[in-house]
Amino acid sequence: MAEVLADVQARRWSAAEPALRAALARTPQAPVLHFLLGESLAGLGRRTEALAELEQAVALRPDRPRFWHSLARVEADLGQCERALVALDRALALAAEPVYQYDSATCLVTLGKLQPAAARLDLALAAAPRHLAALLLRGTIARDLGDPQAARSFADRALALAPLSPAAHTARGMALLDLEQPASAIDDFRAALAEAPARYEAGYGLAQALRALDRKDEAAAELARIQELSGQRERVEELTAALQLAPESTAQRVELAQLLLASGEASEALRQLEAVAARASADAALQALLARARDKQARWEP
Amino acid sequence: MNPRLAPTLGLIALLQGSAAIESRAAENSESSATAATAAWLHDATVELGLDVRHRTGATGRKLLPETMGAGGCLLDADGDGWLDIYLVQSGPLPPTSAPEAANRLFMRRGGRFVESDPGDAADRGYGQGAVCADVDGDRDVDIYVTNFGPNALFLNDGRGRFARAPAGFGAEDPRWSSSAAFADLDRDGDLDLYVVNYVELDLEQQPRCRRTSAPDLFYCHPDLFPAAPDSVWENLGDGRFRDATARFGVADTDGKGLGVVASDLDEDGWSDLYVANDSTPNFLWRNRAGRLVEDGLASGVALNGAGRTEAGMGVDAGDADGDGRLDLIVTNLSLETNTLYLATDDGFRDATRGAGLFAPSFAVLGFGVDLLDLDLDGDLDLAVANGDVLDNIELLNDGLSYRQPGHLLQNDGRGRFTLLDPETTGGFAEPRVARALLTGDMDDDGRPDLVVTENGGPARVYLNRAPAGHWLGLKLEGKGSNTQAIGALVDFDRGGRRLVEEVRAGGSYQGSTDPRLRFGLGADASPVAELRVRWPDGSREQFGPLAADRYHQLRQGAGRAVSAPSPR
Repeated sequence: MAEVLADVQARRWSAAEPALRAALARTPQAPVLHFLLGESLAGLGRRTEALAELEQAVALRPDRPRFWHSLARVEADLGQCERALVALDRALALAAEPVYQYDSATCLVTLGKLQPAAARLDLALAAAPRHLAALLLRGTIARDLGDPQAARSFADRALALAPLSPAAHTARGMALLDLEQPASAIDDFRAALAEAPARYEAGYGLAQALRALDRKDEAAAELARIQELSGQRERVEELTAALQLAPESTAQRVELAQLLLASGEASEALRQLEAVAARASADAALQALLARARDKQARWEP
Repeated sequence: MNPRLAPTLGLIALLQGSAAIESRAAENSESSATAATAAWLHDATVELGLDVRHRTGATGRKLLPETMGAGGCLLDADGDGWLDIYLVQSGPLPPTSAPEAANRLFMRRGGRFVESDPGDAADRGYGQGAVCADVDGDRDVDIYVTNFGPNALFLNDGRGRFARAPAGFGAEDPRWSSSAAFADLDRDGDLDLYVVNYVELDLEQQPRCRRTSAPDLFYCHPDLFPAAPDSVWENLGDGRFRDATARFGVADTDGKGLGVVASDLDEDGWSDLYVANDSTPNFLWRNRAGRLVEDGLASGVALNGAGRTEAGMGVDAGDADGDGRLDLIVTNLSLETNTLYLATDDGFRDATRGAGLFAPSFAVLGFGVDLLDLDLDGDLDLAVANGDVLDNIELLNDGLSYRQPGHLLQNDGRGRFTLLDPETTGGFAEPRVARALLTGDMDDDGRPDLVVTENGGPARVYLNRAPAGHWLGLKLEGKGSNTQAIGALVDFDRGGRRLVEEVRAGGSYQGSTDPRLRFGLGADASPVAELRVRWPDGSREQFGPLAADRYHQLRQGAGRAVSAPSPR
C-alpha cells in the first residue's frame, strides 16, 4: 500500500491504477482506495471513470471533505459546475478550507455568477489573505462587475505579495486602462512583458494604452508583435485539447509547459512538467525545465 | 403619395420640407398612462395571427447550418404604411425545394398578420437571413435572401408580390451566407450590398464531432472549417449587381462572418461596415471614399479588451453612452460577453464591464441585438435574443442551457445597463432558442416593437407597452434610386445632448428592421426645433420645427441646405 501511495503522490498514475484495482478487488468497500483510484483516473484524463470512483468514495465516507473536493474538481472538469458546487458545499460544511472557497468561486465564475463568486473569495481571503490566485481572481471579478477601482486595489495587494508577477501587473494594467490612466497602465504592461514577453494580454493592453495616448506608431508596432504571438496562443489551446484525449503524451505536455512559462503561467507550467516528470524523471532536459519553472514560480508567486 | 400622410398636412410643415404623418397612437388600446404598471412587452403573437414555425431539417446528423438560422425582415411590402413580416425558412437539408422550405410573408391586414403569397420570394433555398430595401429605385421594398447555397434577390411589384431577379442580376453568392447589408458604399446614388459569408462546408464531408467529456454527437466548432470570404456587390443603378469585392478592397478575407452593420462610424459621410466574425477577429471596414480598408485591430474592435477573439454573432451600432457618437455592440458565445465598444477620439474601447454587461451576457449565447430606446426616455436600451447553438450543451456545461431567456437591459442614460426583471418582459425572457431580433414600430405609437425568430420554433411578436416618454418619428425619402435614404444620418441637440440615428438596411443577425427612425424625447413634449440630416450623398439639410409624438416624412431637397457638418 505504501508503494501505491507513493505512486499517487508522485503522480505516477499509470503505475498506481493496476495496484489500486487489485486492492479494490480484495476490499471493494475501502473508501480511500476508491478515492485514490479516482484521483489516478482523473490524472490520466479518464474523468468519467474517475467520477464513478469518487462518487463511491463519498458514498462510503461522506465525512471526508477531501473526497468531496476531489469529486468537485472532476465534476468541474467535466463541465458540471452546478454539481461541483454541491460537492464543494459539502466539503465546506466539513472544513472551511480557503481552497474549497476558491474552487467554488472559479465554478461560480464559470456559471457567470459573479457576486456569489466574489463572496466566496472574500471568505477565502479572510482566512488566507496571502492567497495570490484568490486575490487575482477577486480583482478580475471586481473589474468584470464594473468596479475598476476595486480591481486595482486587489491587483495592488497581489503585487505587494508578488512584485514581479506578470499576472498581477497585467491585472493592474487592465484596471488602470478602465480607469482611463493609460500612462500608468503602460508601466504595468511593460513590467509584465519584461518577465513574460509572450504574455499576449499584456501586449494587447499595452497597445491599447499607447493608442489612448495617441502613440499610434508604437501601438501598431506592439500589435504587430503580438500578432506573431497569437499562433502560440492557439497552440496552447490545441495542446490543451489534445492532452485531454491523450494525457500521457509527454512531448505535447512539455511543449505546452514551455508556452505557458513564456506567457507567465508558472504554476500551470509546473503542474504540466511534474506530470511528465512522474513518468520520466531521469530526463536531464526535463529536469532543467522543471528547475526553470520552479524558479519562475518562486519569482512570480512567492 | 404615401397613404399614411395625413390629409390635413399643415402648410407650415410642407414649407419646412417635412410632412407630419398622423400618429396612430390614439388607435392603440393601451396608452402609456396604463402602461406604467404593465410589463414592457406584450406577446401578441396569437392575437395578431402570426403562426409560423422555423424548420431546421435536423435529422440527428448535427449538420452545422441546422443550428444557425433563421431571420427575416420587417418591411412595408405593399406600401400601405404598415409593417409586414417576411420570415426566412430553412427546411430539409440538403435543400429539396420542398414546400415546407418556402419563405413566408405576413401582411398587416385589419390589425392582424395575414399570410400572403409573396410570389417568387417564397424561396425554397435553405434560408438563413434576409435584408430588405429598395434596390432598383422604384419606391418599393425588395428582398435579398441569404442561403446555405445561392442567395437570391426578389423584386417587388409594389403590391407585395415579388419576382426573382433574372439570372445574371449578379449577387447570387453561392456560398454559405448569413447576414447582409445594403449601403451606398461608393456614393453613386444606389445601394450596394455587403454579404457576410460563414464557412465552407460540404455536407457530405462534415465530420461527426464529439467531445472528450461526452460520447454524444455535437454540432462542430467552426474552427474545423475554412472561412468563406465575404463579398461586396456594386449596384449598377437598376438593381443589377456585379461582384466588386476586389474593387472595394475586400479580397481575400478570412473571417467566419455571421453579422454585419453598415454605419458611418467616423461620420465622414461614407458608410463603414462592421462584421461580427465567429472565432476570428471582427472586421471594421473603414470606407475611404469608396475603398474599404480593414482597420479592426488598430481601431480596437477586432478583439475584446483582453485581446481575444470572440465568437461574434449579431451586431448593432448606436450611441450607447449618450456622448453623441456611434458605438458598437456584438453578441458572442456563452462564456464570453456581449461586447460593447464605445467610440473614442481614435477608435473604440471595450467598455463591456463598465456598462454592466459582463454578468448578464456571460452565461448566454446572444444572436439578434438592437440598441433601441424602448421607453423613449432619450437613451438607447438593449434587447438581445439568446439561445445556444448546441442542443445538448448541458452535457458540456451543466450551468448552460439550449433554451435561454431573452434579455432587455435598461440604459441609465450614461451607458450603464441593468437587466430588466423577467416579470416585466411579457414573455420575452422565457427560455427559447432565439436567433433574429427584428425591431420596428408595428402599431405606430412610437415605441419599437420586437419580432423574434426561433431556431426550430415559432416566431413571436412582442408589442412594446413600456411606460414611455414622448418621441419623434422620421421617415426619410432620398433622391435618386436610394429612395429610402439608407445611410442617412440624423441628429439634433436636446437637453444638452446630441441625439443621433442612422437609416439602415441590415444589422442585428440575419435580418433587417423598420427603416424609420425614432428618437425618445422623455418628458419633454416640445417640438424639435431643428434637426440635421446628412443624406447618403453627403449633402446636408436642416428641418424643423417638428412636433413630437408623430412621424414626419423628410424629403431630400426639401429642407434648408447647410454646408457645415454637425458638431459631434
